Amino acid sequence: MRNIFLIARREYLERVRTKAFIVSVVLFPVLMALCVAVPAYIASKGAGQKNIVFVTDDAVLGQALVGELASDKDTREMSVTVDAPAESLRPQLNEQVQTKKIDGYLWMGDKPAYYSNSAGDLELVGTLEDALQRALAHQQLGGHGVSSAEVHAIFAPVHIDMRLVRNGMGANALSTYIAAIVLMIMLYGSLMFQGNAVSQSVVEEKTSRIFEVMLAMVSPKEMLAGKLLGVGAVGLTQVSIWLVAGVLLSSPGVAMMHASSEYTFHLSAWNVVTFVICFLLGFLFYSALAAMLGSMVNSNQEAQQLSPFINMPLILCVLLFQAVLSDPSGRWATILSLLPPFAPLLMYLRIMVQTPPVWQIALSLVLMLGGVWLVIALASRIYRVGILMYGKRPTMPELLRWLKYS
Amino acid sequence: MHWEPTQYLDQPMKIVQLNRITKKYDTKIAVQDLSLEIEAGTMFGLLGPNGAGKTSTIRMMIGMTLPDTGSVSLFQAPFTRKSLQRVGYLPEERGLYKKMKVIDQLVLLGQLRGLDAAAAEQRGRRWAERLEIADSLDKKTDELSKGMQQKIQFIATILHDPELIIMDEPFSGLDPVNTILLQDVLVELKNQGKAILFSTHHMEQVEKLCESICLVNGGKGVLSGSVREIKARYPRNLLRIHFEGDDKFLSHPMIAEAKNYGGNAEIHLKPGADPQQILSAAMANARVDRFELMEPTLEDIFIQTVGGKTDA
Repeated sequence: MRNIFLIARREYLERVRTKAFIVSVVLFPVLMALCVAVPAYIASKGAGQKNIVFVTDDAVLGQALVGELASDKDTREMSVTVDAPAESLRPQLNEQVQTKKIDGYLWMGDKPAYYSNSAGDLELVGTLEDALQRALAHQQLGGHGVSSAEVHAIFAPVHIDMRLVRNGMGANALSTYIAAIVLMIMLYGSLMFQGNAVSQSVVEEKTSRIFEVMLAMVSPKEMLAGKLLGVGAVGLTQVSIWLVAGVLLSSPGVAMMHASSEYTFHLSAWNVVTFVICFLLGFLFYSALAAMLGSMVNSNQEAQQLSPFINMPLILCVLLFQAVLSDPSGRWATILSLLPPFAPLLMYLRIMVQTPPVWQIALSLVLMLGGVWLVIALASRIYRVGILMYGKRPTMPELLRWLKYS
Repeated sequence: MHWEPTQYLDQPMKIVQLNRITKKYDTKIAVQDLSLEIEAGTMFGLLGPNGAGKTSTIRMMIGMTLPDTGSVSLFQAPFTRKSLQRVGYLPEERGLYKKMKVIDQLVLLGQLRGLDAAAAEQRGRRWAERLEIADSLDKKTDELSKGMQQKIQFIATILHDPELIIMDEPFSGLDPVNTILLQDVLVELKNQGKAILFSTHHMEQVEKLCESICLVNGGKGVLSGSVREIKARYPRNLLRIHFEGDDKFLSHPMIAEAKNYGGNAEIHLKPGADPQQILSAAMANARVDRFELMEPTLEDIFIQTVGGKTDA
């Protein structure tokens, strides 16, 4: 036990002092925050004011459209001028679009058309369509004697607030959704990062022949246990810092300062506890495999070529998370979240968005513990032989023989 | 296992006993039916060309691998991992954590052998002083030269004052001055009663330092015993003559093979040849400054024994 502790402590201290660790701790949450904040910021601010010319022979409709656009708080600022249609006007407008004096013009004919030199402004066209429809409706309903106030009431925007029923308390569905995605990506990132760290350090210890020195003092099992404990503690430190940062960011005081208070990031104690359990089980599972891989190869390049085979289930989980989120208790989501390679991520995701039946959580936990035990048993047998084997990579039959070595 | 300590008072303790050990890897036989004994207070040479099975033998001696058949005893008891705290092993390849500070590394390795951190550090500093490498203790390993790393590794091996010291090519990468420094330490440790196993393919070093040897080739022990006894078993048929003048005596019919290095001749005699006749033949046409009938070197014996097949 003393040896395991000494090895784990060395592993931990050497690792947390590296720049890579500090960068990963700081950079990852910053990147995640940027991923959430930047699109929101761009969407809210837009690309500045838009200059649009509305060409129609109906001056009343033109004014109505301008009014509609101005009253719509969600749309970005627009300056709309109304002009009567004349074919002579077209070349002039085209030139203004080319020289960027205006962003585009809406030509009202039998079929309204929007001309601009940007193909991507779908949102703007959508806004124009909505406003034009309301303006037209105003005009026609006004002709039937409906008052302007009544028309406004009819077209008042409707917003459905999504809330979850959980433990008798309503929780905002959107923020839960965001929290689920953020935490799962965090879990994924940390498992990948630490797994990689384990396989790389095993390769390094093998190529620098440290094993030759260490194995004269400690057993391969102690080496492996110390390594997994040490790196695991590093991972735990990493995710703890992230979680603490997350909790601080989601605290009411900070949440008040958010520009869009709709997207609060909420973390409960249950979220945190399950996160740590999923991290530890996932870490042991994938890192034992990574250590096994590291012991089989002779260089980091070789390890990198092979690591996708081990990380496949993790990658698959990320590809599947949309599907699981949209139907958390569907058949496939349920089956996959019970299986050990997928459980740490998918069961966590399900727990986050919709608490699954207790028996499923328990079964997944039991299977995961069994999986971890199996993988560690397998990995330690391969590791024990592999760390002293140099030269070519073992073939499948050779690996099977290694398992039987005493 | 229980024994009366007094029983061994008159004979030195058997530190290592390998009894007919065999190890196979897949189809290759690494070690076959090898036996050897190393006593306290002696230096033992494990000799053989590269790939002869020296490292495989050492690995079994310290439980890194287990023999397929045969038995290993350390300190007169069947092998247990506990006894590793009394063993120091210096592998042929340098194995140190590159990014770790040298003194931290020595402390860790000392702790893994059961020392406490303070004692490990104190001993590490004392040895570094002795081996003239004290300035390197606060550097990272990869800032040191190969020879300096070898000295650090040497210190790590003897830090916990082991009773059995296993050195696999300890002097590789060292200049002559440092080689002598380390040799002196090894001789001193031997005189303190430690058993030292010295594995190498450099015969001269073994010849100078070791009392007993085991020669391995192709995984088998082909020759073992005390260096003196072994040499006595082989006839003295090597002549060294330093002369000035005609060298035609070198084609004397009693000479099997002769090499002349500009007046320094090395002559292998045919079996039963009389060295005196060579001397008179030489003196007939040349002036002889020195004439010496040599004991066979271990290298000669090695070549005779394994039939000249060595890539050492």
